[in-house]
Formats: sequence, C-alpha cells, structure tokens
Amino acid sequence: MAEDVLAPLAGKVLSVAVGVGDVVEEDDELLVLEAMKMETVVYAPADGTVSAITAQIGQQVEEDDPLMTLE
Amino acid sequence: MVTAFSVFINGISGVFTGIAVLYLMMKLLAIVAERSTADSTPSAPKSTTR
Amino acid sequence: MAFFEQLGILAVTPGMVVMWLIALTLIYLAIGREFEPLLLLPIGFGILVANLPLTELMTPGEGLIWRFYHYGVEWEVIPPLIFLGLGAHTDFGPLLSQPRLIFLGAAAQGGVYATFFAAQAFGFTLQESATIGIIGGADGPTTIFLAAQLAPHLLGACAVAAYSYMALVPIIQPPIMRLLTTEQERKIRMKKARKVTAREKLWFPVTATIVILLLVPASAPLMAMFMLGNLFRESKVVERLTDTAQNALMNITTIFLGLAVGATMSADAFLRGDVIFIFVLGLAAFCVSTACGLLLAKLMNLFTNDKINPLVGAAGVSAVPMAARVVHKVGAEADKKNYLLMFAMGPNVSGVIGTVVAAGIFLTMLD
Repeated sequence: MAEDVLAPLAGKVLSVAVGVGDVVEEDDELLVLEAMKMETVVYAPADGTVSAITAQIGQQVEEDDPLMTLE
Repeated sequence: MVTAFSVFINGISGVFTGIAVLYLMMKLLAIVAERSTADSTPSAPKSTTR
Repeated sequence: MAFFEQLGILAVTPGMVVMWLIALTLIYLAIGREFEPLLLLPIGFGILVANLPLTELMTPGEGLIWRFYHYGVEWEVIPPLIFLGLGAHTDFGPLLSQPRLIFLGAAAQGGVYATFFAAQAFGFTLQESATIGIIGGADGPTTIFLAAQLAPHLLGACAVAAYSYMALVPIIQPPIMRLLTTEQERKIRMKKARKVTAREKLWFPVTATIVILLLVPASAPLMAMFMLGNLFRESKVVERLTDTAQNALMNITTIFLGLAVGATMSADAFLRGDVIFIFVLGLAAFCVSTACGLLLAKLMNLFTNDKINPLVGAAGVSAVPMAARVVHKVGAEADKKNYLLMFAMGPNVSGVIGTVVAAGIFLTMLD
C-alpha cells in the first residue's frame, strides 16, 4: 500500500537522506526542509520502502505537497 | 489627571478590545470570502458528451 | 597652535572610554557572534563615533548624524518606513487560518503593562515607564517610535535593550516555556490549519487598517504603513514596490536607524543608574510577556476541544520569526514530528499588531 509523504510545512528542500529502494522504519529521517531560516527534518510516517522521490534539492514546496512515496 | 492605574487599565482593555474587534473582522472576512468564491463556482458539473 | 586645539584626544573623558568599550562589545557581538548584526553593528558604530569628542556629529542643527536622527527618528519617519518593509514581508495566512490565535498576541502584551507598572513604581515618569514597558513587545521600531515621542533621553538604552533581548529570545524563552507547561501539553498536535484564500489575505490589510485606525488613531503611522506593505505583497500587482519595500527600503532605513540610535548614546545620556533598571525591567518585560502568552493558551484550552499547544503562546512575543522558531524547537524536543512553526507564526504576527496598538494607546494617554 503506497503512502505519500507530504510536506508538513512550506519550505525549501535542503537535503534528501534516502534514495529510491531504501528500506526505512517509522521515524527515520527522510529529508530536511528549510523554513523561516530554520532546518526542519521530515520523518517517515511508517515503515516501508522508498518507491519514488518527487522532492528535489532546492525545490520550494507548499504544505501538503508530496515529497516521496513509501510502499 | 492621568494616573498609572488609568493608563494600565485603558491600555490592557484597549489592546484586548482592539484585538477582539480584529478577531471578529477576520471571522467575517473568512465567511465573506468563502461565500464569494462559492458564488463563482459553477453549480452543476459540465455534462460530458457520450 | 590651532591643530593642537582641535585635537579630539584632549577632550576625552573616562565616560567616553567606557562607551567605546560598550560600542566595541556590541560590534564584536554583531560580527563575531552574529547577534542581530543588522541593527547592532550600526548601533555599535554610532555609539563609538558619538563618543569621540569635538566631531560635532551630533551637534543639534549641524551634525551629520544629528540630521539622520532628527529627520529620521525625531520626525518619526524611519520607524514607519521600516514597518512598510515588515508588512511586505509578513504572511497573515497562518493567523487568518486560526483567528483565535490573535488573542495570544494580545496576551503577550502583558509584559508591557506589568513592566510599565513596575517602572513607575521604581520612580520613572509615566512616559519613561511606557517606553521601558514597550520593550516587552519585542519590537524595535515600535520601541524607537514610542521613545522618540515620550522619552527621547531613554531611546538609545531602550533600543539596545530591545534588540539585545530579541537576539536572546532562544535563551530567554525556553526555560519559561518548560516551567509553565507540562510535557503532555508540549506534545499537543494541533489540527491542520484550513487553507486561506488569496482573497482573504488581500482584504485583510485593508479591513484591518480601517478597524485599527478607527479604534486607535495614534497607532496610524506604524499600522497604516505596516498594512500598506502587506497590501503591496498580497495584491501581487506591484512586485517592484513589494520588492523595494522588502529589500532596498528595509536596508536603507535600517542603516540610518541603527546609526542614529547608537549616536544618541553619549556618555552622559547612557551612564546613569536608570540604565541598569532599563535593562533589568526590559528583561522582565520579555519574561512576563512570554508567560502571559503561554498562560492564555492554557486558559483557552479549558474552553475548547480543539486544543492549542500552549507553547505557541510564547510566540506572541513579536520577535518575528525568532520566537516562532523557538516554539518549534521546544515543541520538537517533546515530539520530533510536531511541526509547530506555522502555527506559531499566527501569534507571532498578531503580537506585532498588539504591540503597535499598545504603543498607540500609550501615546494617546501620555503624549
């Protein structure tokens, strides 16, 4: 069952910690967003395997924009 | 004569009153804005050709 | 010989040397520690040059920096222009999506009034007490705006106190936040904010201007400029003006403001017993404001099922966006997946409005 990881707030993607195919556990660090000159880490909502990454470094995202998908 | 106490009371009540009015205004704004966008959306979906 | 008569070095007093050390400390903090550098660097330099004798930089009527001060600050031009820029930077979305958070910005003015009361109990005049109290609003331009009209002799000290404590918010607030909230409360996840339409964000500055100016006309110079800047931004049709307001204008006014404010701090103006009180009271103002914001949030939670994380109350202290960042960090310590930043922006921006209203009321009553 695929689950989209959505952006918890609006910001700029600074770095992505995982690659497609990586197995992650709930609460693993997935990527870092920058908002209001502060770094926020986005964590995995559940266990799974990264099936797709839509977020790109430098991309400006809005709240609830899809960042990546977990299977 | 303006006393510290009167400034204190006027100040606190003034800030809360001002903010309260602003609060009501924001609530009103939310309602009016929603209504005007609702008016502009089509009421029935476009019919599709078979 | 004339050259020796004009030597500044012969007119140096010990007080001036003390001010040089203060100036150099501020410059070091700005450059070495990046402590509010945009303001503290020009302020520090202003203090330095104002305390080098015989330069006539601050001679009324003639001095270069006196002119910046007189026409920019005394004439109340620069602080409103800074507010134009601040309005152009501000996004009222987070506040509009949860209007009840505006009361947290109002509550955070509690420190202003508590300090006002304490200051006048310590012997300061009502005007001086108001100026010291407004430091608790954590708003540099408003502090300067009020000081210039009510207590210009305290302007330098109050401004430096305000900007210093704003930079120290990440140190001042967390202990208070942890003291007044339980771990449970800090973990509260707030319900997703509703999406705010562009139209609402567009009408807000216009309606807010009308409402606030009708209620507190004395706040007009700051509030009208703030809302105009916001209108520039939300109209999306004056990008050039928005860009100027956000960048060039902010930068220009900041340069003049910092330099002029620093230059008011001559040795005789600053090295008085009062100044220690100002710094102590200013700190107390920040602390009480933080506490009031937190406590109102907790109180509001008693009356609603849709719980507010009380930490966001601390963001009512309008150090934008520093206080919001601090709220997020403290919240993340309790629950790393709790993203409080955008919720905290609501009280943060409403705190700006609250402080300006408070200043307007002080002016109405004390000018």
